[in-house]
Amino acid sequence: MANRISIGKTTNSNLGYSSGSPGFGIYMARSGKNVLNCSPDQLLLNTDRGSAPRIDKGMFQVVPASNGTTTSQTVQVTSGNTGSVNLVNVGSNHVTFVTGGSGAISQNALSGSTSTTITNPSSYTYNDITALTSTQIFRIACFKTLSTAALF
Amino acid sequence: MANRVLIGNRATGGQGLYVSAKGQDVLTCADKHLILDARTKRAGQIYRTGNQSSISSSGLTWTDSNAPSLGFIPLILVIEQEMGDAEIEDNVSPDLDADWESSQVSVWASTETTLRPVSSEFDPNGYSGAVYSLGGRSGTNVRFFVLRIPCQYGKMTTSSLWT
Repeated sequence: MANRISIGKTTNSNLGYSSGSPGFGIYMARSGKNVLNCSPDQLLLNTDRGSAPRIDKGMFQVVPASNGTTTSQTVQVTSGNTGSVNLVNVGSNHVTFVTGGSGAISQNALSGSTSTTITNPSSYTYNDITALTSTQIFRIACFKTLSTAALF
Repeated sequence: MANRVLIGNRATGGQGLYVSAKGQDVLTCADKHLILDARTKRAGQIYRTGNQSSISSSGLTWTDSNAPSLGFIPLILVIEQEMGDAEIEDNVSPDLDADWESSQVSVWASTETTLRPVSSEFDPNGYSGAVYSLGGRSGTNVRFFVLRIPCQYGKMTTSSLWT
């Protein structure tokens, strides 16, 4: 059976490490792959962050709604107004993902630390035609933002 | 408090690293309660993120020397300022008494190296049946996550990418 999990020091040269310049973290290889010498793309879990060949920047995480168990909530927003969803405080400036509106285009924003807001504009222009909006029910999920080191 | 983290042999799943959701015993919980499951082939590892005030119709090259092409088109999750459905009533003369709707306004095209906003355009085509074509547009306040998950026809069954 292949070594699947490495917790602590790694010298996997395919990740850009060596005995003289090791890496530290949690690494898990896919089934059948050896975590000690697998390629970066064969890692199921990689806690590195950096430039190639350490290719991953972090894990995709969802910020829970304030009850701590659901990952999305719905909110009803009237035309020209904003609604909000409360979040578990795990930092701020998360990316808000909105879907579910019908006959309207929502405007989303980066979140605060404990809530995120969504705007239902009173009107919108699409393909050079302006239309008025109505009250909408949106579903909102929030994705955790990484350090700006991962942004460009 | 429930056991949350297991490194070793799980009764269902075998050897590996497992993490369960809050309140769930990682030793016995149903598979659906595992946040991290060693049996999966790929997880939500972020390869790159982006935050752009605008992206023109010519698109953005998101790869560079620090994040070269993965060799496949990855799954890219895009969020921009305006998303949702567009429903527009006919206002041209003669009145066709028609509503035109796009079920997803935020349409994007991606390659191994680029991300490009495209628009869904309505072409009633003589009203014999609405034809839908893709044109160019710009995106505003765009944030995106490039996940290290293949999302490309012809790559979804390639053994080197999944096994």
